[in-house]
Amino acid sequence: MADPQAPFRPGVAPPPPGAQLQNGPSTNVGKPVPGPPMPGQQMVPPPGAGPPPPGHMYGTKPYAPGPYQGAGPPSSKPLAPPPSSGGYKNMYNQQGGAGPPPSSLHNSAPPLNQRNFTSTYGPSSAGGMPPPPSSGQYASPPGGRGGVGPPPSGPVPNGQTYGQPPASRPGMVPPHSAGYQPGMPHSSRQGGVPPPPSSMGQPASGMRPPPPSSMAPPPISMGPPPISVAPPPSSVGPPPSSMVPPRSMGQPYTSQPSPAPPPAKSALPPPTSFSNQPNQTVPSSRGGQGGVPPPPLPGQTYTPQQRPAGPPPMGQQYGPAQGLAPPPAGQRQPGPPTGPPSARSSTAPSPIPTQNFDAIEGGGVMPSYPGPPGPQMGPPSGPPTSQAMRRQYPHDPSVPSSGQEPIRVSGTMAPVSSAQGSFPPPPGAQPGYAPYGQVPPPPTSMGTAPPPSSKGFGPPPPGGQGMMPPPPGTQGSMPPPPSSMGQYQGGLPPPPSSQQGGMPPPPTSMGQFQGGLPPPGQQRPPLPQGGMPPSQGQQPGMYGQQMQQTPNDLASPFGRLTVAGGESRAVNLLQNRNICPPEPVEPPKANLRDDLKKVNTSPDLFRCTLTTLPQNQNLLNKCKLPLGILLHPFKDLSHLPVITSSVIVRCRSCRTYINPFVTFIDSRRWKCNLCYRVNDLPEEFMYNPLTKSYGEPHKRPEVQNSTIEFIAPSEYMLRPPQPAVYLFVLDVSHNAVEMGYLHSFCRVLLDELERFPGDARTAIGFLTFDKVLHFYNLAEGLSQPQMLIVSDTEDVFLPSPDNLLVNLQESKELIQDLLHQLPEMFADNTETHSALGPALQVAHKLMTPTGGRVCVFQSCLPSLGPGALKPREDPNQRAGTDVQHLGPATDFYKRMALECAGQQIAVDMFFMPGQYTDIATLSGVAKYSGGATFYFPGFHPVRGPAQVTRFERDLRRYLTRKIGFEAVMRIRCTRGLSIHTFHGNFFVRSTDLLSLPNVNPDAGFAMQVSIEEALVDSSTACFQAALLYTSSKGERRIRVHTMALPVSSNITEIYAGADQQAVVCLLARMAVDRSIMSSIRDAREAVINACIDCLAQYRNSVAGQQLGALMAPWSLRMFPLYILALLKHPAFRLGTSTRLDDRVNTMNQLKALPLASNMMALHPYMYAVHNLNDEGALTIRDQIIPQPPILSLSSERLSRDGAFLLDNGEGMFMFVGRSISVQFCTDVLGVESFAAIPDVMFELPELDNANSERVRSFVGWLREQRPFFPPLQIIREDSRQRMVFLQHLVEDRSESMFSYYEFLQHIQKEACK
Amino acid sequence: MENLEFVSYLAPSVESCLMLNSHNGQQVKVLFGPGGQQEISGESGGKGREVKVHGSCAVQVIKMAFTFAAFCYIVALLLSACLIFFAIWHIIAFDELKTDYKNPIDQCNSLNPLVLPEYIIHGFFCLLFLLAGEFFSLALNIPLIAYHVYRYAGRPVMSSPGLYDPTTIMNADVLSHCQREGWIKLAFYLLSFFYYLYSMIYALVSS
Repeated sequence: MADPQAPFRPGVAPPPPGAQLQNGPSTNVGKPVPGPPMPGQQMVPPPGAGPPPPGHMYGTKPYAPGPYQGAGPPSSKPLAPPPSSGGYKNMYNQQGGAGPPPSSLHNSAPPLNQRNFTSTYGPSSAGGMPPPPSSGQYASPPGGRGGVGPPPSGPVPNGQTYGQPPASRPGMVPPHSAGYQPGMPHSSRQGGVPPPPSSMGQPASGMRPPPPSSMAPPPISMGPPPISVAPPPSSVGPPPSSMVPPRSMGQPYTSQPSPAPPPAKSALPPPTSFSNQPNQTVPSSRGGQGGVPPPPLPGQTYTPQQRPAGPPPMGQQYGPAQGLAPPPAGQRQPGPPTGPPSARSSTAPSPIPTQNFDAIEGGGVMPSYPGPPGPQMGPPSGPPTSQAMRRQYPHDPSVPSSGQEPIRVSGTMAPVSSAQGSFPPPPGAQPGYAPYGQVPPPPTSMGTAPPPSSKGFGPPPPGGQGMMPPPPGTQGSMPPPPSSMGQYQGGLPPPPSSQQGGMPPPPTSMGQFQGGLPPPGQQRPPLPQGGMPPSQGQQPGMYGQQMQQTPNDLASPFGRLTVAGGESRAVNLLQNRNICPPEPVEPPKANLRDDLKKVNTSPDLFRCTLTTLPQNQNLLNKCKLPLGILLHPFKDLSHLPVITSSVIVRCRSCRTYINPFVTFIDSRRWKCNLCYRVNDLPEEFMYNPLTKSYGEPHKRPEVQNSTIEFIAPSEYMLRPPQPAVYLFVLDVSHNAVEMGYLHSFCRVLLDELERFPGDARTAIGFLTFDKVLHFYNLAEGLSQPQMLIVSDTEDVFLPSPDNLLVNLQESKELIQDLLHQLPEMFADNTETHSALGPALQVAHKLMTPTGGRVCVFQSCLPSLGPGALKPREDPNQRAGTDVQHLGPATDFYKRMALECAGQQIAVDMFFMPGQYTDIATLSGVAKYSGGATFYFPGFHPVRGPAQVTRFERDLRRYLTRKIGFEAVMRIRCTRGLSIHTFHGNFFVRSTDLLSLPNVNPDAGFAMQVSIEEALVDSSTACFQAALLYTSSKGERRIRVHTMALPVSSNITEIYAGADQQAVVCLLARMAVDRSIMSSIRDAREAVINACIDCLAQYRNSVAGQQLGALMAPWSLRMFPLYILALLKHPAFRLGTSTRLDDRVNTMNQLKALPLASNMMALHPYMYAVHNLNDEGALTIRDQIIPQPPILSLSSERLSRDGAFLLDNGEGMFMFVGRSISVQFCTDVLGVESFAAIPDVMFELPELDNANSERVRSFVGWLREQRPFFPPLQIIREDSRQRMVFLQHLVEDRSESMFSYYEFLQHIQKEACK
Repeated sequence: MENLEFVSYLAPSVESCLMLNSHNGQQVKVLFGPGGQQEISGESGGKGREVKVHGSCAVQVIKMAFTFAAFCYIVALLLSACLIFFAIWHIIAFDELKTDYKNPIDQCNSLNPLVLPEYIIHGFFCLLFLLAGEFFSLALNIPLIAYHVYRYAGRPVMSSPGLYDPTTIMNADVLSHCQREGWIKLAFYLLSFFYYLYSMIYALVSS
């Protein structure tokens, strides 16, 4: 392009070809801008430039005249250094930032300009613009904006006519555009090539290839209802008496006491079973599989509710099945609160107290205690209605029941929500809680400037003193009231040391415990019996009680068994193929003392692959499981205590923040739980703002919450907190324009402009590039945006020292103008080159003074300047047995990222590739700068509407989500542990410090951990992640998460505490690394070996040799399935055509997303939606949300007359069987029959009938639970797209990979060698 | 003297040196140049010099002399001292990284330029050994050469010379690997330093 401009230059002082400044869109030439041209201006435009030769490429024509007038703009500069901007410049200056002080601007500027570009700043007014049409269109008012239109100005390379009518734009997209693959627009996953139908089997029958028979009986029947009792949903937690629901019901409360769980194993665990419909008969259970007999546990505390549950229906063996399947959401009363919501519900930032809150705050105390605690409680109480509640919702009902049980109350239940219910209103307790209520700032802790907390503390609730009542010493003894919180405290005073020590059941807690219910057996028998069948009554029972939280739904039948965070029971996988629970899998709970368990951090935020840590490296090696932590540190939380305090108490040697797991030696000293140093408590810490009392350091919120946020004092700042600065770098090459993303982008940005996170200093800038770079001068006071063009891509420079990043508030009108014009401005761009590298370099320059976020939209392979790439993918090798080019082709982008990271700049990449874009290389810039990548393959307004919708929704979320700037995260762990390898998007600055120029709520991190010294000093080990960041409001904050885990030297316990999801996610990340370093083949082998080794070891050391059986610990029962899913995941599959970009993108996602998203992608949820009913439904905001069970991912589960919804987090697919009922078609799909379903159909029509509403509310509910928007695609059974759906059925055999059963056999064979 | 082997010209204009082994294993130096027989520098000390004539050459069997081998060892000695410093620098650098004194980017920038020089220096005296026919010494170094080649071939994608990538260097695996490598190399260079010293003296003194 440079050349083109040449002509234009002549008149002007021909600047180096490279640099050209053109006035952009300035408005009217004719109208001189009011501002007098600055004398100092660099812009000196070439007088001669004046009349652009007709042929000029770039806006020359238009500009020519204008330029000078253009002076106007310059003038403007001097005129208005926007105060705000000035403000921040100053800041920077202080910091030594580049930004020249406003005043100096002009002067300083000149050098730059003169050097390279001929600037024609002239605002070419529309009038001036040759292309009159544009003016017309834009109808720019002569005055200020009139110029709007002048869009065409610079950009249009060829001098073609400028703007097309906007309207035309959309249409523009030529259907034939090169890159696209028309075929499958939306399926992001899909290989480019439509999968051969044959692969699955014949089309018709193909659906359920393997076991045809199974098809028929849709196992899924909604209401399998074992549950005879049908308490209305609302009544979910019916009082024990009502509870009756026999067998099936039991699940929720894991503990079905007496009645041995029904033996039969139902294929479909009746998830919803306990739902309301009493009448339902048992669903078709599969008799055959021997489920594990559920252990009857006499001791069960829970019994009450469950007891009623009588004998399971006959043939069913709920054993395993039930255990697996947690009861429908509603049911979970007890357990759920603690951990459960996790997988599904958590994502959505629901106001409701998420489990986190519950767990952290002490069993959701807040919600439960409605009134008393206090005013502040408000938010918590609200929750029920909110989304999150869905899961918990049930609790309420349960409450009564739970209440009945003294036991729970007494505290065993602690964390569980039930506990809440149970507390009558312990007077004493309330006060205590109250404070918490206060503490937690409103849901959006971040956003709100004023940390509520600080205030909150101030005004202790009236009742506040209440806390105090139980003098530390006494508390322990106090039975009831102290329950939740109390226990902990109780422990403190007395024998500090003992508590910490791994005393199994701290006496104190026990006391309470017992008070409630004399535990049948000894107190927790330390060892979970190895392979012991759950039958042991006593022990299990005990656990049940203690662990009550564990009530992971999973455990239902085995609930009692659950030992510390897990269950020691073994499962023969070969005989329990239907291992998938109908409810999301719950993470295991660490087997800690109840009081600690209560405060432990939520598994949504912090998870460890082994919830019971091995004592030494040998043991770790022996158990063959990877040890690591997965972290979601910046997740949106609905309740997060925020503390403003003059002192932040930290260990003097290891700098650990004080946390709930420290030991108070006396009232003045505490012992660090990571390094065991004894530290003094500062005087300030003795005062508890919550209770306004002195001398109770252990009641401070820091010590009561394992997830907490501090407002950092100035020692935590290296420079004044930076303002929120956003720079958008937009690809406007032909490819991108044709794709039409600019329309979507501008539309969304216009909508969300008001909602950008930030304060009055927020700054924003735009940069577009094709073969040259276009800058936009948005100085306040200009009548319209000016475009400055730099065409020297080899040596980029900033055409203007300032005003390229402008204050959002002050220049809002100009920004809006620009956004209105942008799409048209480049509508006719035919330049196909893309100079991404130079654009990034210049973005870096632009942002250097402040840091901030650069958001790059890229649609093709960069082909110019530094960072140019060549296509590397060979389409013929897509299905090959090995994959090349997973690593970067050049380190340019990595270096760029590091430079950016050094200046606190994060780069986020949005890819909308029409063809190969080498994401492997380009994503480097996001990876190492703490950015994020988004990928919209097949983006096209006509051919890929789903991607467009997704793009717009994701962009909205992206623009408005919380953001933390100039962040660092440090992970500390107990002495003896060390962090080994990091996974995620960041730059590792030292052995435990991650540099995160930006941190966002959707970023996940993982670290592998090794054990360097045996963990013999304590029975617990802790991890603490501290994230220090600058909020968008300019506050420096520290978010601290602390997780404590028990340590054991018993391999059985370690297996019992394994967290299969975390293990798989960690393995996936390791496999990604391995793929890049070595090859995918290697990585696959390594993953399979990990599974084999683990199970073989389990067999040898715990389960014992059994012929023909593949025993797995209960906690790892889905491990092989997940491994298989991993192998079939687009990132690692071989032999199935997968585009390189798709593959690399999924790998990036595996590395950078939090666990919940990864699990969804690996093992999606499938539901039957053709027969939704209200059984077990949740009611949220007056909407009834059906809760169908989750089906295992096998085509056995499909039926020809059904419709199935598969949700992988990134997209939803509804698969409609050939014999679907006409009613479903008309009610839900809005067509007359199956045959009338269009081949490509997105989203459900809004029809006014119950069926449609159910499906839509269900889909909507699923969507609400995650941050990003999964578009829905409806796929007919005979559609070419069906592979998009079928490829997710990981239990089926695929062309190149085992079916689940075959895989198990393979593992069994290998493991038994 | 049949196996006379031409090895190299040390200083072609003045004299040509040939290294060869006589059948009795003694070191032999054959000198011939414009002036006929010549003595080599005075280090031989004049002891036990025996001169034989083979064909048109003058052959000296040197009991003690400054041979090319000795020269190689001297060079190797000096260079390995240099490499020891490299290794120490390397160790210190990684220790600083581990203890968080330095930013990985800076550290990589300071380490990367040293990688190739180290390899080249090491390769250089190995080449000298080859030329001098010191095959045993060469054999001792071959594993290290192979490791260097392997290491450099597997380096991350980088546009500048060097091995260390600031984005991965902080992984405990990489870090401990590099540290271990540093210590092992230090040990190796130290041992080889003494070995060269010994060999040098041996070469000078051997009869």
